Amino acid sequence: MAEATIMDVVGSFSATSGYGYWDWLPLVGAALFASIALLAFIYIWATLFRDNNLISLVKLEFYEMVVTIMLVFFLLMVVGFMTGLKVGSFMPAALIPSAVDPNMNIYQLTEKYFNEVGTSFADWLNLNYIANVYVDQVASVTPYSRPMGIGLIASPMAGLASPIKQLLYNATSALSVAYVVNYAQYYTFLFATAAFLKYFLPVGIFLRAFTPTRRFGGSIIGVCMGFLLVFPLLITLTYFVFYSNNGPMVTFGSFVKDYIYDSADFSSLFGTFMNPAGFTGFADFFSGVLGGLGTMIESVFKTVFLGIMMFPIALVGQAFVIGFVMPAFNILMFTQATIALSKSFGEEVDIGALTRMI
Amino acid sequence: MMGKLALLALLFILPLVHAEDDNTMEDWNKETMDFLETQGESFRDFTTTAAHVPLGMTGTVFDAFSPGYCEPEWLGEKASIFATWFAPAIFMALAVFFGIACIYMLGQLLSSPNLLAMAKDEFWQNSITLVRVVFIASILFTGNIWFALKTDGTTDPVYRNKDNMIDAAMAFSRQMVVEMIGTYSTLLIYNTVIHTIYSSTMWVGVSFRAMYNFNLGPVLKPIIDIIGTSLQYLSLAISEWMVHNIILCFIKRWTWGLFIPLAIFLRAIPYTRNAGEALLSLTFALALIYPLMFLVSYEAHKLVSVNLADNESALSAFITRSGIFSIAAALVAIALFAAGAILPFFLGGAITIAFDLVRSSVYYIIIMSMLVPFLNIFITLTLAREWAKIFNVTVNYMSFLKII
Repeated sequence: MAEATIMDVVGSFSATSGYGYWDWLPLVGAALFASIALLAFIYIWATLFRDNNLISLVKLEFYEMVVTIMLVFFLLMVVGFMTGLKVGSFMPAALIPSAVDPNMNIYQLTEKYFNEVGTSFADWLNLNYIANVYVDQVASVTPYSRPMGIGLIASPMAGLASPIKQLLYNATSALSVAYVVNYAQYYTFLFATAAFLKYFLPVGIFLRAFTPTRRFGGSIIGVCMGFLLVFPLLITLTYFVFYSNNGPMVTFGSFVKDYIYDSADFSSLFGTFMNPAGFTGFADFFSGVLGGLGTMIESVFKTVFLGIMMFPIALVGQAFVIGFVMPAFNILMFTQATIALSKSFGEEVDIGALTRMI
Repeated sequence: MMGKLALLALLFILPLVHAEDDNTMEDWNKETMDFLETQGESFRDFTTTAAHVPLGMTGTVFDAFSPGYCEPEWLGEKASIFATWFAPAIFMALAVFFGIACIYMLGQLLSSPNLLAMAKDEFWQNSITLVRVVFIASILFTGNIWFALKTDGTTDPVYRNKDNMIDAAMAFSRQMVVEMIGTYSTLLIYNTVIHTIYSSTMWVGVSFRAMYNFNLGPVLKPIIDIIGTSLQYLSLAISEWMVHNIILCFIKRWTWGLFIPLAIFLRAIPYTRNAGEALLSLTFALALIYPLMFLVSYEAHKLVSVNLADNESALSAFITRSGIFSIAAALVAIALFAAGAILPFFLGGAITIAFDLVRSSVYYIIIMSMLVPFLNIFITLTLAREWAKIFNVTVNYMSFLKII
């Protein structure tokens, strides 16, 4: 069985079974039918007993029913329009990242963003571990400098490598949290596209059909629209901000490639240092313990010393921006839009409490 | 017997002779610091041009902290502004007004006072949006004119060759990264030196039968701890200033390309008007107040930073003055063995410089990375909130403060 993709969930007009756009329509139809049947019953009752107030109420309710039916068509149109809206049709070509197909819609792009961020983070976590191996190795080197029994045994590189190890640990922690936040957003998005379209929206429409639950039903419809329209749109824009040509993720990726992946020095320097036949740096250490440190450090790190020091510090910054700042910004915009939508369709819900997720 | 002893003594002296002029630690320290200074200046002074050159192309090791390309999209080398996001902003405004005109005509046709009133109300709301966008543009333009006049001919590295406030704010952020990296590096090199002694087991004796060993771990542990803690917090502070730099770049690049068009769009629709209002207020505060606060912080930093120790000179002086870096391991062991004579001198110098280095770190961590950003963000968000309140929108921006 083929794996379901985001488009199966959001669906299209041509989807016929399983998932898809039409899947929730029978539920909506059932809700409307139940409302109409109830109103018809009340109308008959009111006519039978000549209760003019009840007849007026039924007319008012019927008007609301027509509004609900219009809402259903409106939602159909909006979600259908968003499903068919290609990125290339509203984004300037210069801003579209090279990895993005202009024919994608915002739902596909949202999914792509989360997966791409997840891949980048996984790559960096791996790189962090590789760097940790080298740095750990260097930190634990213990040269012996005891000519004629007088001298010392020390781990001179530990002083340099330990703080860098701490940086790598910090980077791992920050990346791990950002990784979790990223996938939390991703699964929220998947849940929203599946559950809100298929279950919550019909429930909202059903509840909107009756006076006591009308406001609450309208609020649910508003929240659904927030999750189905506003959230993917915000994530799409975030994608362009970070991954557009020369965006921060692209630039940082080129730094990592230049200084670590493609650096001829990176692995060869460590290899030379750890090779007993080379002993570069050991000779100086043997003769002048602290003076020789300079040669030792140079022989191990050379120019990659600064690269390897700055990589984890910068990584924490990147993880912070993507894992905390942008989600905070998106949640702020999302909650404001959803509060307004729920207020418009029903009553204001305390979705502002979502900001506590920040 | 005497011959053997003479031979042993000769062998012992050989490494001492070899070590006499061997002070590569000092050389390496100097080279590293010079390299950092050169690279840091290039990074700080880098200005993007209209040729779409990203900050990541400075070719320095500081590229790790590059926020990418920061120029506004619609001011780039495009053939016309209509090729970019600026076009949607204009189209959006036109479409909104066209829609309102249609509602008005329909209202006239159907003689519907409700439709006419709605059209008038929406026209009023969207006119307010446009007036506010023009107001934001005017304030930013005026602010940049003021900045250009005030910094004309200046030699200040942060202000020179900068066209507007946000460029100077980014230069300040980059300078902070460079300064903190310098402090971090000196602490790291110092930690290397101290850690070598800290982790050493000293051996004194001529044969394995009668030897003496000792180490100075306990006495150096407090220094190692305080340096380690400083390094850890300093690394977070550096990351934080990198985030400031990215956010400033983000603001500069996307204010007119994304925020304003999106705010116009959201504010045009009654259902999302509050979101548009929040975005418009936030954009105003981020584009004007946030960079301005950085310049205020920079002026304060210039006044306070004169009290900081010159870490690089202090470390070089320590390396030279202690003399411990140009003698052999054997002599180090003997010297430290004779603790009464050498240790007070060595530790005295080491402790003094340790606290000098930590003092700078405390300033960068507590003042520049906690207090100053808190003030900057608090003032920016409070202004945005008050600005939004004028238009009857309550926005809880304060959640952002939790990030700090």
